[in-house]
This record gives sequence, structure tokens and C-alpha cells, in this order.
Amino acid sequence: MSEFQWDQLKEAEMTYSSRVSFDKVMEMREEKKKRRVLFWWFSSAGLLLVGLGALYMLLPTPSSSVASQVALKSSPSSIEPSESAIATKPKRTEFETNSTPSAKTTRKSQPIVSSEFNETTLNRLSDKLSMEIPVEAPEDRDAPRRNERATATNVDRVYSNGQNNRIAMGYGEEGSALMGRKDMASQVYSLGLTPSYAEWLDPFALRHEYFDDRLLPDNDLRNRFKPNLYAEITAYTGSHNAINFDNRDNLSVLGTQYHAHYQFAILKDFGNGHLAGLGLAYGEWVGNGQYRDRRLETYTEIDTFHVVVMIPGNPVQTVEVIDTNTFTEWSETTGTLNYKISKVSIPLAYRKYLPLGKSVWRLSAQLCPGMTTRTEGSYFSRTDYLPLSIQRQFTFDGRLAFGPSVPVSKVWTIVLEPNLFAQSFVEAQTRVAKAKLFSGFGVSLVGKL
Amino acid sequence: MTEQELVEGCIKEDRKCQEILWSQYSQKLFSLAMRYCQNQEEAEDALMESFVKIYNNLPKFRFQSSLETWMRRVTVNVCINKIRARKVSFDSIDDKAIDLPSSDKSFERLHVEQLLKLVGLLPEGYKAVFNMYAIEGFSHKEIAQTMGIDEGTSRSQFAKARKALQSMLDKLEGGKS
Repeated sequence: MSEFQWDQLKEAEMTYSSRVSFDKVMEMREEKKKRRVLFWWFSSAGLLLVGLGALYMLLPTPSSSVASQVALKSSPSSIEPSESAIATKPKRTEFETNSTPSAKTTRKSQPIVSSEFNETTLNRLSDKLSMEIPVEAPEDRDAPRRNERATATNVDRVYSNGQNNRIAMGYGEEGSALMGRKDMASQVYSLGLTPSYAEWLDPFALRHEYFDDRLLPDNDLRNRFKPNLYAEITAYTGSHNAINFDNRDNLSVLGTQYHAHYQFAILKDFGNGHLAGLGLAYGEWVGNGQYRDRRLETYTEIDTFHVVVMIPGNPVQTVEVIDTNTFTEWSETTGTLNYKISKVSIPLAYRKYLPLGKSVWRLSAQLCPGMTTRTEGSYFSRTDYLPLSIQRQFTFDGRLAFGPSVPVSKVWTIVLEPNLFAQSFVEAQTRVAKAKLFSGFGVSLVGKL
Repeated sequence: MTEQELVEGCIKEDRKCQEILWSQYSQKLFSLAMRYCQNQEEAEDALMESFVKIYNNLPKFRFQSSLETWMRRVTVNVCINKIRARKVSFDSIDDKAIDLPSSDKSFERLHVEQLLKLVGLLPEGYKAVFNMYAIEGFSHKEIAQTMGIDEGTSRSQFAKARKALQSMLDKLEGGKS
């Protein structure tokens, strides 16, 4: 086909039917505009609703509503002893001055006293606890009634009810700030989450509820002095990209590095949501990439040829011409780079549990000194690569993570943590530390021991 | 009125300029749409949709090509979307397996209307690739990107289209004689 025919085909014009017109196009346009406005309106409304929902989730629950929940949940029979316990919140001196045991209160507090307790233990406990308990009466509708009882309660008896040490220690053997205090989060609030902000604000309101289950006669005093230990199994991963498009660098590397880390740790609860501990970890650090090595090369080209010179009257002569040219050219070499570093380390872990809205979030920080167990390939950065020759090299890692803690059973919680971590090792031959910053995601399973 | 003034007028929502643009290009673009679409109705829908897009997106036109080229590109994209919505399959075959006609000289005897009819008779997949490559001047790479197929498929579809056109022409000439 000729060019002319192609052009004719391209330029060909055809007449459309009467259903197509400029006005119709404009109508279609207006309709589309309206639809777009509706779409944006609905999208904005949706986003606004989501935003308001999130805001509501972040707002703390008013303490009065918590108090009413607790009051509703509590059965009259179980309230009695715990009310007595709450009434012990005022300072001991106040109790001493006010305490006048009545027949009624003595009768109620007596069954709470375990037969296993001896007088010394009780006195020691009461002394210890009275020093530690912050003194404040809970603010709810029952407060005046409780205060009345408090004045008429035998303080030592109340302290000896087998539960008061939990009040003082903050977190009992099963009830911990981290684990949702087993019974409270699931029974009182039934949120499926760890205790809400309200518990943090007014722990007495919940412990008051908590006592009901703890007033069993077989409750063993020794259990209460067990250290609050937690087992934590963690897996986290992250990636780091090395990208270099800068032509000024002779060597540029394009690659991705991944790190997978698995660890087991034992953590001790130090109260107020602070945990610290150590464990054992295994990590694999892998990199795959490509390099481009650009070098400016200079070479000389020598071109030799003969020219026949014929001058009339002179013999024919041949002249050899040597033409020398110098060229400069960029030469490029490309190749692949891979490396793998396996290592074991000892994580020194710190965790802090924080209430955020109606859920509990966890801040994790840890440092992991360790040793490589296997190294192979060539470690690379954006502008450099280094063959790994020595198997045992010192490593040091650090990690920061923050995420929600979600209880999955009465014993276990899962923490979902976006994280940022740095991996480093000291290259044994050059004694230079090589480090990378990774971002990724981790999951921790935390269980009460 | 220059092309730039026309574009600027359309951007300012000057109805007169918009109408000029319509009257100047609608028939050309309809002819283009007809080459891609299955029937006149679909081509008319494509034309109107294209003009809506053209009016809406004129502020993005940077005068890096001629206005007509840009408008043709928008229309081709609308038509391709319509073809893709019909889920037309584009089979990839080996180029070398096709015995291509050695020359296109037999086409030279045809009028534009006849050529258009012949192109219109091509199967759906071939037709789009043939139009884009042979008439609009897209490269196989561009066709592959626009249609979401690979470059090899585009080449093979084009080769098939040429072969099909040749056989149709042979039949036409055989019928005449």
C-alpha cells in the first residue's frame, strides 16, 4: 500500500447518525460531573465516619461508665468482701483512728481469712501493703456507703483476706497489666482486648471485681510471691533496598536485602507495664542484587596506509601514513551479587505496655549482641561490595517496634508490631562495621509463665 | 483561530470553542472509531466518550504533539478499552510461522472505502493491532502497552492481519475475473 493510501485511510471522515451531537456530548459531560460529585460526597462522608470512629476509639472511656459497668456486673454476695478491701485504701493512720470493729463487719471479714496465715505473715503483709497502697476512695455512687464500712472495718482482718497483696503489688500472679488480668478483661468488659484505659486510670474499680473470683479458700499464698515472668516468642522481618542510579559513581548496586529474625525470650514484669528480659535469637540476613562497574578507558588506534605519490618527471613513490587516534570510552561491567549471613544472638529486651484508646499497645526495644554462624557471598551497599571470607564475626543489632497487643486466650496475647531495626556486623578482615537499617513487620506471642 | 487559542478556549469552558473542536474533529475521530469498533453504535458511543475525555483532559495537553494526534490517541484508548471489555483474546504465535505476502502492491488498486471495508472485515484482535500499527503509526511496544499484551503478540496479530487482508484481496480479485 502506498503512503498516500495510508494517509487517506487516516484522514478519512465518516458521518455519524443523528443520535450523536455536540449537545449530547455536553449532556454526558454534565452527568459525569454530577456522578463525580456524588462519588466524592459519599467518599468524604465515608472517610469522615471512619475518622470519627477512630477518634471515638481513641477517646478514653469515662470513669463513671466503667464504675457503672462494674456495679452492674458485681453480684451482691461478692461485693461485700471486696468493698471491705477497697475501704482499706485510706491511710493506715486513718483506719487506726477510725477502726471500731462492729459485729457485722467482723463476721463478714472472718471467712476471708485463710487458715494458713499465721499472725506474723499477716502483720508483715499488712505493714508492707499499708505502705504501698495509694489512698483514695473510688468515685462512684457507692462511695459513701463504702466509706461508712471502712470506718467500721478491722484493718488487719481485711488485709488478711488473701487478696490485698494484689492490690498493693499492682498486678497479681494471674492478673497482670499486660495479660488483661485474665478474668477482668474477658469477664468484665468482654472486649476481647486487654484491659481498657479505664483500668489504668482506676485499677481499684476492676480489682474490686477481681476479688470475687479470688476469694476461694484454696488460694495459695506462695503463688502470690512467684515472680511475674512471661515467655515471648517473636518472629520479625524487614527489608532494605540498595538503589543507586548516579552515573558519577563508578560502582553502583541495585539490590534488596532481607532479614528474618526468630527469638525466644523470658521477660520479667516490673510493674506499671514495664518488662525486661533476655533470650536467644537466630537470624538470617540475605541480599540479592546486581552491580554495574563503569570505567573510563582510553585506547589508541593506529591506522597505517600507503599513499602512492606520482609527480610528473619523478619516479613513483609510496608514502606510508601512520594515523594515530586516541579514544576515550566508558566500559561497563555488570554482574550479580548475593550474600547470606546467619547469626545467633542474645536479645536484651525491654517492653512497655501502654493504654491507647480502648486497646493496649506495646513499645518494644531490644539490643542483640551476637555472632555470625555462617557467611557466604559478597556483602553489598549502594556503592560498594565486599566478599565475606571469615565465618565468625561479631554482630550487633537493635530494634524498635510499636503495635497493638491482642489477647487470644486467658494466657496468651499476640502483639502485631511494625518495626524498624538495624543489623550490623564487624568485618573481621578490615575491622570495619557494616550496618543496614531495615523496616518491616513482626509478630510476638506472649504467655504468662 | 489557532490550535492553541482553541485549546485555551475549551479549557476556559468557552462553548463556542468546544463546538468548533467538535465540528473540526468529530468526523475524523468517528472514522477512526469505526475502524476499531464492532458496529456503528459502538463507534458512536466511543466517539462521545472520547470527546468527554478530551474536554475534561485538555488542561493536561502540553502541546508536545499536535492536538489531532493527541485526540486520536485518546479515542484509540477509549476504543481499546471497549475491545478489552469484550474480552477479545489475542493469541500469540510465532512470527516466522506466518508466510507474509511479499509486497502490498495489490492493495494499491483499492479505493479508501474498499480498504476500510476490508479492514472492517478483519477479526477483532487483528483489526485493532492493524489499525494501530499500520494506520496510526504506533510501535509494537506502544501497542503492547496500550492493549496489555506482549510485543510478540502484537507482531503476530499484525502479521495475521496482513495475511488475512491479502487473502481477502485475492478472493476479491478472483471474483472480479
